[in-house]
Amino acid sequence: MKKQEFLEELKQYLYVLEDEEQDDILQEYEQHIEIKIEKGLDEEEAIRDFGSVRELAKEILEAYHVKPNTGADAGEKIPKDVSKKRLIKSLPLAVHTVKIQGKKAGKKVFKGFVNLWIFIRKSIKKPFRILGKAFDSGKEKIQNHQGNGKRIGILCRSDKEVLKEGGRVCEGNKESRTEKIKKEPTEKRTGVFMIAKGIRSICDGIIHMICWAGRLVWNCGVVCAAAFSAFMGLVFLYLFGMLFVLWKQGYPLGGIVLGCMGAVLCFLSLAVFGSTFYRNKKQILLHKTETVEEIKDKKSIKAAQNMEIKAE
Amino acid sequence: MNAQLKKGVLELIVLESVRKRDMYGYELVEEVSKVIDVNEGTIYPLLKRLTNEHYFETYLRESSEGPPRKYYHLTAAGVLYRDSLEKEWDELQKRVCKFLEIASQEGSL
Repeated sequence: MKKQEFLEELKQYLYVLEDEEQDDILQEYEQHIEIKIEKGLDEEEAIRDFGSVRELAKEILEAYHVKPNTGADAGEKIPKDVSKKRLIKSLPLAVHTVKIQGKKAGKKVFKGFVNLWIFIRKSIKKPFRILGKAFDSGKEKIQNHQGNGKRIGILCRSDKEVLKEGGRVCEGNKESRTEKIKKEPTEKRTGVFMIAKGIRSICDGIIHMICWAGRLVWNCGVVCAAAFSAFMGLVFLYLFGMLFVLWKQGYPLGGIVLGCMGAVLCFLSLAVFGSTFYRNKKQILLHKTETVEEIKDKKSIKAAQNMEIKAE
Repeated sequence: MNAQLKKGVLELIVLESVRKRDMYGYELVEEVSKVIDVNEGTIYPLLKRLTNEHYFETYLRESSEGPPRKYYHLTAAGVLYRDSLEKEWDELQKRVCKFLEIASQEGSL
């Protein structure tokens, strides 16, 4: 018997043991055989001294107080149904895990994109938020909590809550949260606090101005592009008309006429499309209030459902 | 030699060998073989059993001739167990000797 054969057979007899134990035992035997081979014996001789593999396995298992009459104690190899069951069990499990991993990966990628988008939006708005919150309850917090750590911690938590709500930045929620912070016992309503409040409103104003300016620039750009496309469209319409008349009079201008028609359609549709990018203040506000209302609706529905469940 | 007799004293010999110095499997087989002729296969199961019962501790030590080897070390419990085995062996030896003496005396009578 060769060394590998011996070890494989022994492993089969030891199927009841944990994998670690099996490896431990087999390693020792392998080492022993190796040393004997180094001393000059060949594999067959080295293994012969071990005697019957079955008996050997029996003695090994005695050390683990295996339950008698389980077959393993009598030195049985791994029964066929157990080995088959293991394979059958493992196959669908493998497929299942692959599916789950695939789904997880897909979800992760999607989440990654969403989070990236949210991060970009946040990073633009974060400095403004920090300013606002700093002066809102800032003075109190600094005195009580000794440093910026807690403030940033609160910010992080609030960001997470926003993420949970599907990544919609709900300005409405931010306001309610700042209200909560305000409700904390503030016994020291000093003049400093009022000045801070004033500064805060100034900051708000500045932020407003910047947003308005940005929107103005954006709208200008959109209008210019749309106007240009419309102008070009009209130019081509004029050309189209002229060439059509000439064509009807006999000149060979069929292709050019069709080209003009295509150009007209292109430019006009481009103008229409471009004009949809125009950002109206009313549109944005409408969106905000809608979302706040949506959340309120959701909450009321949930509350109603909970009541129903409790009643049941 | 009778297998049952060998089996009886094997534990004591193994424990005593390791008490003298820590050994790995092959070394131990050689030591024991000096005292009694033993099947190598039975040494390892015995070592496993004694380790599971916490009479031995094992550790790996690097060796120059290949992979790290597992060394056996006698624990405090192992020392006590070995002492109790030696006492039992002495007791047994005395009784059997006495029995055989008497038997041979009686026999010669």
